Amino acid sequence: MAHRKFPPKKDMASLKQLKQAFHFQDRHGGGGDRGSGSRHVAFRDSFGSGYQQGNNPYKWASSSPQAGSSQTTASADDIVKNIPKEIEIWQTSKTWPFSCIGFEANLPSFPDIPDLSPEELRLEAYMAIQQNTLDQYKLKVSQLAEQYRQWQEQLKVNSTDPSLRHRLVRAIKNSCGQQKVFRQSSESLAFYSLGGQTASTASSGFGTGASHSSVFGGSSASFAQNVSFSGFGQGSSPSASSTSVFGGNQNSGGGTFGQAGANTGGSFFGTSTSAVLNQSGGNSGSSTSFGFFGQTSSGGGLFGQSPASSSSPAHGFGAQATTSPRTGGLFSALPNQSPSAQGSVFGGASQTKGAMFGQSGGFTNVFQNSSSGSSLAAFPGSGMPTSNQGMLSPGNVSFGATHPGHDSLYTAVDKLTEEEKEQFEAKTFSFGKIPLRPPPKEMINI
Amino acid sequence: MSESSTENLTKDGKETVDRILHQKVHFKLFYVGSVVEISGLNSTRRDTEAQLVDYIEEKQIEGKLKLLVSEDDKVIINVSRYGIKVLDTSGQITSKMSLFGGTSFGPTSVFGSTTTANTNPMKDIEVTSPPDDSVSCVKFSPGVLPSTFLIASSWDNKVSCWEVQQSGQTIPKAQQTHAGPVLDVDWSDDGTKVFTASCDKTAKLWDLNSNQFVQVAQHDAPVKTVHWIKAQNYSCLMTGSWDKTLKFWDTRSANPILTVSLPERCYCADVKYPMAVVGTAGRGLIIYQLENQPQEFKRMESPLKYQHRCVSIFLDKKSNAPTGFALGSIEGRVAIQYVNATNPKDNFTFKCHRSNGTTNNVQDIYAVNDIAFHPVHGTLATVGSDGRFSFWDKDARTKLKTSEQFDQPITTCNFNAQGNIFAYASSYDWSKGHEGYDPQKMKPHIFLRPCFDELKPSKRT
Repeated sequence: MAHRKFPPKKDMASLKQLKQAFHFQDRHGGGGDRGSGSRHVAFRDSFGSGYQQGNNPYKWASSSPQAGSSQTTASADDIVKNIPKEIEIWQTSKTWPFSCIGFEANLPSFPDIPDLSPEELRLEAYMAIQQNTLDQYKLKVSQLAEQYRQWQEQLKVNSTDPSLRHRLVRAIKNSCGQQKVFRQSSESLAFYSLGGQTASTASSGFGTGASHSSVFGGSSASFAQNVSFSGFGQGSSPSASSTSVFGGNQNSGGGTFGQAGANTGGSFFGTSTSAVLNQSGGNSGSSTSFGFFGQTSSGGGLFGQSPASSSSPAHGFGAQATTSPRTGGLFSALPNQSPSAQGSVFGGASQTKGAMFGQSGGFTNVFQNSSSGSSLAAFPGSGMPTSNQGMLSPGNVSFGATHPGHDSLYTAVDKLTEEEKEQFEAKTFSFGKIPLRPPPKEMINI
Repeated sequence: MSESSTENLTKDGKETVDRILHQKVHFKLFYVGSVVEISGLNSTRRDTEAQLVDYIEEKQIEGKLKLLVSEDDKVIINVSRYGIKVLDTSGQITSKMSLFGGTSFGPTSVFGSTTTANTNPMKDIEVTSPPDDSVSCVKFSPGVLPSTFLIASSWDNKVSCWEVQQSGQTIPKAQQTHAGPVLDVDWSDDGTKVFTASCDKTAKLWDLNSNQFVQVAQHDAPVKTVHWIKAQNYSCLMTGSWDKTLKFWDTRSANPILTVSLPERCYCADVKYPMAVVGTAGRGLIIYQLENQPQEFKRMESPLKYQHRCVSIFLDKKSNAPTGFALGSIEGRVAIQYVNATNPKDNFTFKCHRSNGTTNNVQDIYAVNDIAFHPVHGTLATVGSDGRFSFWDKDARTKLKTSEQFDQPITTCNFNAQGNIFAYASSYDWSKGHEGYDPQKMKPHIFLRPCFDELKPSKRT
């Protein structure tokens, strides 16, 4: 191995001195043999290109942003299939647990597992020490840990829960089909009390949740509780309810998918979301994204109408909703069509259906476009928008432009099979027979 | 694609380990694909083809498996219980790698994680009077100064400044205090000022000449990042905060010139004019262009699957202009991402800061705490929660060096302007929460290492 003479001359002097002073060790490790003489490292090319054509593409999503568009059903299946392993590794490898997780590289994250950085927890701990509330901090962290663990378990069981699994696949497919969704994750956790402002948004989310309580029956209780659960470090009441909600889904059957969840014994993210919210003390209406998983929790987020209907006092849920593309995360279109989706949605499953399995992904695209496009208007001269609205509000987004039309959202009645029609007409879906296609426009109750 | 002949492997993973290990697995090298499950190679978890390929790549990056073929060639890879053999199409062995045991993997396993904690296993020079609590950031002064200074911010609310002499000796010069932990620091381009970002929701300017320390920015939540932007027609300070905004400040005004909403809390950022990158919670990634005025350039989906932790911009070798960035996550992985990749294959991720646990071959995965690019060679250093630093050549996609393990995580690192000193700090990074925190025992250290030669690019580039 020939030595290159890299150091510029002027550096050599100081380098020499450093060498002497530092007991300079010559470079080692890696070995001098690495790749010498080879022209290319061909393995590397498995990043990327394999993704588009391979039958095991998910692993190599990493490199090419474009790849997402060619995502196939199989790959979404594969992603879902791989989730338990992924989670297992996460759990056993002592990796930082308070992290969001993407479906895959270059794909959006699972909704709605928020990020918490070590620094945020650390600051909270320092403040707790200062305020002599370390026990509360510890309690909080253990609750958080439990919450994340439950989330992970939820994702892990998807293999035994066809319904959840199916929804995951759809969600991934949708997001893949639209390439990327710039994920607006949950409103922040407001975990650190220094950033206290965030707590309010959180409760607004809960407020909304509570307003839908009739829909969700049992879960409403936890929502209500949560509202009072403000930022961390304030002696937050540990809400045991969350756990129970999470564990045994008590959805009263009002919600189609609630029911499905119950059937499969799984529970789901719908209710679990609320649990989450409790515990993280401010995760807020972000639960939206759990729309992915089909049900419940913040109907508002899901269907994007929360801004209008938010019953939450004081807190700007409206603003929150507009600012966060996550509203549009998957379902942004719906507000346009069915501003009062909630009731009908959860009463008559078809709407949910439409939202969930329909072209919901299509609207993510909208945000995509808006966010990557020049319309971003992030810096309109000196007057920066202080809210996200300028950048990302649905207002900036032309649904029409990115989506040919709402019709494509739906399946024509005559194209449905009898069974599908039956399902759409029924008050609730029968487990195992849930149609894969969007409902026909005619069958949507608004 | 994927000229694999392994379809006979079952999908359900019911193949016995022995059977699979005797399987000959043929890959078309260019696209390693299509084996659905392979169990029992080195771990029961390593049971997909992807993981096998990962494994091979890992070894390749470490220099354990070299391939002497071009990407246009096809090779056959035989996987057996004894290892992996790479054959070119004519059946010549081009590469061999043992799968098991430490024999061909070099001494790393010998000096594994079980060795007793060592505060200075690399025998580097210790900076005198280090901070009392964890070091969040270290930064060398810009090259315009006749002498070299090092600034460190720390969790004891302090910002400290040392002069670094040619001998490597350090002389504490001055210190300032925030009302809360300090998370980030940056230098002004002329080296006369230092900017600090703190959990007290402010950013401050420290004028080293006058030793004045004044607030220049305000957020609604802790300020996580601070960067000085020196453009042709303006200069300003960029602060990123957990209040989900990015703000740009003329340091003489109480109001920001510009406020940009972020989708989430700002977790990491880097600036190399005319480019800025911000990584947020929820895997957000936004690129800004700074010419004339800061403007969002692009949002992208994260190439990493887990929480963002650090980001560092790198320059194009020829044009010397910023062309991409390295992004590190909590999941022991770094993504090399070009902003406008001419070829998608230019972007890739690699694993780092992982170690094999003692039980069941479960790999411990650590966070990548910081990434720094060498100012001369363009190679990079990563530091991790595992208490190691590593040097990499992203162009050759090889590892140049990994350090021994320190008794504590390495939280931050930086190269001096000439690229002959590597500074890094060992201190607790909260990766194990409050349980892992013992301020009595965990004394932070800052080390200086002569590094110019160690970071020379791999010859293969």
